[in-house]
Amino acid sequence: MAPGDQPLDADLIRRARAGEEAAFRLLVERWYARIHRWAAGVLGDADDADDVTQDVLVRLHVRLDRFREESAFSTWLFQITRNAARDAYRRRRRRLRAWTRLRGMAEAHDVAPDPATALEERDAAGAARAALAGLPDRQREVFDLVDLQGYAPHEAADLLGLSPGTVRTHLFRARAAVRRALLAAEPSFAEDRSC
Amino acid sequence: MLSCADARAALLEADLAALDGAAASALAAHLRACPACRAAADRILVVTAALREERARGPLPPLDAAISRARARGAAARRRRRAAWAALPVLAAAGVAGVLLTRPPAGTPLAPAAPVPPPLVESAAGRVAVFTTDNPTIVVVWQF
Repeated sequence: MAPGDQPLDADLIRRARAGEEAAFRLLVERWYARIHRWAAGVLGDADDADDVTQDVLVRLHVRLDRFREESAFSTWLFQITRNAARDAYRRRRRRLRAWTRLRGMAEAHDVAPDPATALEERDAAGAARAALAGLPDRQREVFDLVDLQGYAPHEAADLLGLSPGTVRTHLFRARAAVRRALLAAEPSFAEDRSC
Repeated sequence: MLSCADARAALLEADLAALDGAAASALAAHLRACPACRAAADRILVVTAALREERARGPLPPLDAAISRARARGAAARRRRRAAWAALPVLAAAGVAGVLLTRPPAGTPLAPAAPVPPPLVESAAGRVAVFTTDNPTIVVVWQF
């Protein structure tokens, strides 16, 4: 193979299905960073994405036979990643709710916010982060894909299986929520409405 | 020219490329002329870039270890799936057998029959009561 002459995904998939471990490795190597980044987009945290990425590789190893080339490999892999990340997100939320209940029982009278958290949330990045975390799932995913990962809206629409118009609607709502929060966190922007 | 209020509203939804003021749009023209709105647009760009960095930060977990684990766990998952498929006919046969063994004989009324006092037989050994059960092959003989 000439330098720079990379095998196509379809070729790697065919060889990996036939049991060629080197082809599976090449395929994973090609998509590894994107799987991790997609997972971080759903979870909102790069560290939490490590476990999900591992889970996706297992699912890929088990399910590669089931990939039908009716859709793009990227779309199929994105859906696997998204499902794995959403499963992890739901598990995390359940754990958090249980922990919050326990903490609430233990500290029923201690309602003062953590000073460090309060300080962080007052800063623009903290406010934007909090607004992003509070968005509906779809809006957060679209915002992450387009504004944080650099996909064009029509590419995000393909990955998510939505129409471009729907993606733009989610994108505008998400942007407005995040940007409004970050500008409001800084009095100079929040108050200076005329110039 | 766009007013500041309109520009601030447009800032909330504009594409990132439009926020640098280089594009040919009414918003871009306003941003080039208004330092206050320019500063707000810059703030949005800076914070968005910070969020982008946060999400992408840190080295990825080592690839070789991740692939080894995927192979091992994938193989285990396939073994479990094969075992489940292999057990399926046995479970199905057990289910069918259970239904056949517990089904009442044809013609048995579905409603429970009215209780009938057991017939009593006097014998040299004493009195004997004979109870029938739902299963016609089982009879309980009680001597007292």
